[in-house]
Amino acid sequence: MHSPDERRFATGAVLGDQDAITALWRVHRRWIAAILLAYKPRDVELEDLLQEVAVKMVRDVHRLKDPGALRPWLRAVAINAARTAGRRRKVRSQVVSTGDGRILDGPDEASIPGEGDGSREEGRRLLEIARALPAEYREPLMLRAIRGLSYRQIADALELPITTVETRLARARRMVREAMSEATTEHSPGLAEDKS
Amino acid sequence: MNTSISFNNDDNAFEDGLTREEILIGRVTDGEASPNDWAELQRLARQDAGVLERLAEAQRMHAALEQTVEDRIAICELIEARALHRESSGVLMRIGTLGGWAAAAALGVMWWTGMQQGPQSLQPNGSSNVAQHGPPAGTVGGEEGEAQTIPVFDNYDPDTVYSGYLRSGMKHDRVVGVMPDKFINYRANDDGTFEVLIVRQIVERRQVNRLNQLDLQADELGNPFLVKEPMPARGRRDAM
Repeated sequence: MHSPDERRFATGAVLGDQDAITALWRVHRRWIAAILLAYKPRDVELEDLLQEVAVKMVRDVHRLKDPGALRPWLRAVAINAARTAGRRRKVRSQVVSTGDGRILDGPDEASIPGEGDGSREEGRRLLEIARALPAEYREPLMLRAIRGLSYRQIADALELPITTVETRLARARRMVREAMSEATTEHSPGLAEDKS
Repeated sequence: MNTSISFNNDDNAFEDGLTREEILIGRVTDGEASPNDWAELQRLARQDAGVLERLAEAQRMHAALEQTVEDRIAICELIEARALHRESSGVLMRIGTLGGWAAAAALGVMWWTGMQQGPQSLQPNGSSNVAQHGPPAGTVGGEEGEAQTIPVFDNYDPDTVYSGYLRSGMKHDRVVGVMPDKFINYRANDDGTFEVLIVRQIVERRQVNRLNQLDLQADELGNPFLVKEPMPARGRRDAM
């Protein structure tokens, strides 16, 4: 289920071993970042949320009774941090609202034009679509986009059976594929007319 | 053409029309396919040449998404838990909750407050302070007789003065710690180097009677934000 190192770090962290906490954070920070990316508001910085989760982990990990529950706990902390940031942003945005009820959203770092090639542009669009999926599909897809994260590890983090992770991934990819196809059609009206 | 299939018990979580082909392509794309999965996919491909095209498309899209996500989360490699141990309670927690912009704003307020408070707040003292090395004093502003003497740091490089500020702040229990610099922007110089704008973030401990005493009105981007004040113990109607 978990690697021996991960179990050792988790146990040490729960017992308050600072080195274990440091090591544990390094083991988990990448997928935590993916969870934050899946849930965070567009204009909230990932770095701020990561720091928040890290502080929470350092401060509260010793309260975990079962080191095996670390992944779900970290996931809950990350989602909570992202959602809290969303609520906070809403309050702040009211100050700069337009007065007609609309809230001026900040720029999305993913929508900032880059100097990349077509593949980067496609990646950006894919990420946008992935982040718009329902949460149960968005999460496994974002986690799977982390290199080296297996179905088993995703299942552990999400507390789901592997088969469910697999089917949700397949569903997510179908939705992304269809959304990409629709977007392509919309951006190529001439092509659509030719087909009809 | 894809056909919906019935799944065995191991796959009983499958739902609403997913095809075996989609599952197999997913496994291959994710590096989770068994030899049996490969064999099954090859059988499907012999019946429908489009299977391999769809596999290639799935792999290409996965690679593009993976690269984008990896790029986005690369920042996490800079966040270390070790640096947070000592400051994992109290002020830093609150700063962490508020976000890095609060710390940056606090630095600005600290500097401003120091200037307002005059010589004492800037007067270095103690062995850890940069002024121990004897920055010359200068006179600033004011009418005759009201001139204030403050240290002049012109002869020291900014990093030295900055370090001295941190050491002095920690000694006087004012500076709690330093958070990672925040990147703002950059531009390329003619000589191939880059000019980078960053915000340095110092976490500071302040004792105030009222939250709005700090007068933090904007974050580092200039966006206004609210400082919550406890509501007076009156009914909403009275308050209005």
